[in-house]
Amino acid sequence: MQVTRTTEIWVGAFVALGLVALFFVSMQVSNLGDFKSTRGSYVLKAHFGNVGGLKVRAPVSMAGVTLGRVEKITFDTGRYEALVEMRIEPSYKQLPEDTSASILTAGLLGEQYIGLSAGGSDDYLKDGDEIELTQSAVILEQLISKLMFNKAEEGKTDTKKASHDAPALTTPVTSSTAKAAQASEMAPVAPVVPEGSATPPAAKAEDVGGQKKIKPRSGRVTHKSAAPKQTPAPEHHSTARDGHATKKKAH
Amino acid sequence: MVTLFQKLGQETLKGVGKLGRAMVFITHALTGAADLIRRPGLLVAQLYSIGVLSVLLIAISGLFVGMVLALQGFNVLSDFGAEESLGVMVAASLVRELGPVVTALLFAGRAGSALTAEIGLMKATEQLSGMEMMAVDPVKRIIAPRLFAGTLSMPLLAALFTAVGVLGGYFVGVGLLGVDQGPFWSQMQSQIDFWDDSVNGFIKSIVFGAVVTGIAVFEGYDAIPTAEGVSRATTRSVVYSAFAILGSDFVLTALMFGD
Repeated sequence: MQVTRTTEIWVGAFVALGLVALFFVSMQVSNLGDFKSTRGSYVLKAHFGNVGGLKVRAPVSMAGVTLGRVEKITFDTGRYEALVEMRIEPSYKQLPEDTSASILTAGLLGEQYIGLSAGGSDDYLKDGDEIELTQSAVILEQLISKLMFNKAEEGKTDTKKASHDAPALTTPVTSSTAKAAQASEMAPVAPVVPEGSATPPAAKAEDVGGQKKIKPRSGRVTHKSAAPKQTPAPEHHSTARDGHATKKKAH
Repeated sequence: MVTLFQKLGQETLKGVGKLGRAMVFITHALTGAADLIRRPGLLVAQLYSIGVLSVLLIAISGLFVGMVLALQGFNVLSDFGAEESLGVMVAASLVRELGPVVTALLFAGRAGSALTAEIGLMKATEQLSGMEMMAVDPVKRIIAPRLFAGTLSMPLLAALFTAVGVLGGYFVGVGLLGVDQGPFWSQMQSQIDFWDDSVNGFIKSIVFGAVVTGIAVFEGYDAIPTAEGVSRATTRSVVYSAFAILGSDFVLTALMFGD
């Protein structure tokens, strides 16, 4: 076959068309334009007790805006924790030093991402800095098993209380019946109360006792569920925020 | 019973022998790359007959595949109130699977069969032997340009197929079915990853191009030099190409998207 000028032009047009299509696929469909160069960007580190399903290239966002992406997830053999490195875009240089990071889930079963929330410090995070305040991923299975465990515990203590704790409740019962009697004396409108007072106040007291018994337990459980490191975080947060806010006002 | 085993052995030896011939043949053709750089005209001529002449077929097929995907996807997605994900669905299926695979199947039918018939006829009319007589290596002169032209054209054609398919999905989804065009593009762009999806689809199309053209030129070169032999070789070329495409697609998908 003879290579004529027309053939060459057609081949040129074909190759150009193919390249345009490739360009279209990479730019318009898979949005390569979003893929910024790493020049000027900086890396932040954070330790997490559990990263859950976090993947490399997952978004790092603050207030819902993506500031960067997860670059590397490694295991810190010294602390037995996951070490996550995030690359933040150069335009977001001014993140306060006490920024906190938590692993969140987009939607109910969506992908996991890192959510940052700003602190109130005047100093900013620099390249290679570590975010100290972190919150691990919520593992759905653990959450469910904890819930089931709690429910089972509740049921057990209820039955135990019914048989066991009855004698121990004598004192509150008497005091509350006395109180109830007093109350009924004070309230002349309800003459029915003294007759039934023997049972309802007792039940009430039992309830109160139950509540008292349950409260510290549930408190302990929640305390255990949240890592000790994390509990101060929100507190610290709010105070820092408030401080920031007042400072701003003062300015 | 003995004849059964004999037959089995015969077939196995034939298969292994053919595979060996194919390997020797392809490596021989690959050494022709240096000659192609010196004579790019050969490659251009083949790019024209393999690539340019396939453009219309690929573009029209891509358009209709994209349009059908949008129609079908809309029916399912609207049940869940997720019409905005139509763009993702169309683009993901085109970029990852349908673009490379359907293009390769069409390419095997359009260009692969033509290659086999052409080379087979050259062999039947003893043009290849004639070249050898003139001390021209027919593998380097005839086969190599076709092999490289096919491998080069396939990714371009697949990209064209994907792009036209996405546009077809856009016309049907946004134009006909009334999906909002903002989420159509933005969801697509946020869900389709350049490296994980586009580049992997591109790698697939290169592999398919090499496989299809490799099978086509080898079947032509290995054909029995009669009219019937050439017709059989052409059929085999298309059938083997289809098997090879679908089989290697599975392997490539498992390797690249498996994570």
